[in-house]
Amino acid sequence: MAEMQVLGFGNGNAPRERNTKAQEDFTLLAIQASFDGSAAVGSFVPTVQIISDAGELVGTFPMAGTVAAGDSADVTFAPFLRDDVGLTGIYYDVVNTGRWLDIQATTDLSPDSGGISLVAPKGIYLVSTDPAEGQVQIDANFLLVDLHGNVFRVVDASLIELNTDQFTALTTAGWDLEATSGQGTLVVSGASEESSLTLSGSESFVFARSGATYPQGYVDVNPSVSSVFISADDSFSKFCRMTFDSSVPNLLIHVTDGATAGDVVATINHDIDLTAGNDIQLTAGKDVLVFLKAGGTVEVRDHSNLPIFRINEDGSLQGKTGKALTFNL
Amino acid sequence: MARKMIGALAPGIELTGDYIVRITALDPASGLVVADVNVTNVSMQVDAETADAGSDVKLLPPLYAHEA
Repeated sequence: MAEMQVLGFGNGNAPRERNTKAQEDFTLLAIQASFDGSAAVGSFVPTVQIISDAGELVGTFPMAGTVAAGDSADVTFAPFLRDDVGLTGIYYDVVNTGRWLDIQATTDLSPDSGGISLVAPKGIYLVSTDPAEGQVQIDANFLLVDLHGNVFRVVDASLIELNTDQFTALTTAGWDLEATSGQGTLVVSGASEESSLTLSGSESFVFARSGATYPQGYVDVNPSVSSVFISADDSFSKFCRMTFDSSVPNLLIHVTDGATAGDVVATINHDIDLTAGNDIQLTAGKDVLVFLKAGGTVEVRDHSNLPIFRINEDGSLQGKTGKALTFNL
Repeated sequence: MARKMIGALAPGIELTGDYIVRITALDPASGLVVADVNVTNVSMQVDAETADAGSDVKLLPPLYAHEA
């Protein structure tokens, strides 16, 4: 018996073979081979196969892991190394493949007392490949995602649901909520009457359906420009509360031609305070109506907040003492 | 630089005339050969009952000296 090195496989695309010569009688000890996958059409498993002189497969011996397309590997095949049934640990520079993996930290003695730390400069991927049942779940009492000023994006989601008492989004670059198909809906709901949607920030918020038309109406709140514009082609009501920052110089409520007399566009059950540095205009295609409750009045006051002229709900008119009612416009 | 990886072999496989040793790259899902994986520097370490040293069979130097 003599230990020998046998070559004769040549170089080239897999598979490479060597046919044992008639006068040779070897006991196989180990095989070394280099696999260059830079042009490979897919990931691959470097493998040794032994075929008998009858053409029957004696054995297939795959590497313990998978080489990604584009990667290369120098592989040593020898007895008593790992097989591909399962790995007994996690190894660097090896694609660890198996049926399942459970990693648990039972103490808080890691360097940052965080239990399990995953750090990688080029990204960490959590992929659940079953689109029907696959789930990536995070159970924690606090979740912090620091994107260092980059984009947070959820793609191809039929529904984004935040089941929480409070959702606060802080951003300096603006918020875009856009439904690219169907009817875009933003729902704020809660058990108490104080449930509200509060928009605040230094930039803009845009709620819009894609496309040039918005048949169901849209809300565009943009405090960074000179106006806040809210419009709808159909009824637009049931706002519990809308608060606009005092820096917003204009508030325009516009009803399109589609609205007919009697339509309730907005119902507000408490005071409306209209204070403007310039004019307040009411422009309607038809009537401007003011409805008074019993005992109510319409009053015009001067710059000192003193009454000049008043219309009472009982039909009487009142003017300032000593001033005549003159018809000369 | 290529990664250094390992694979298992069954011990004691005997290779006699016309036995083929095939080095291949298989798709992990289908088991079919993956195209365009270049294989180089293949060497096989064996215990030889009989062999003719040639261009593809090299006796290791100490053993060669011992055998000589």
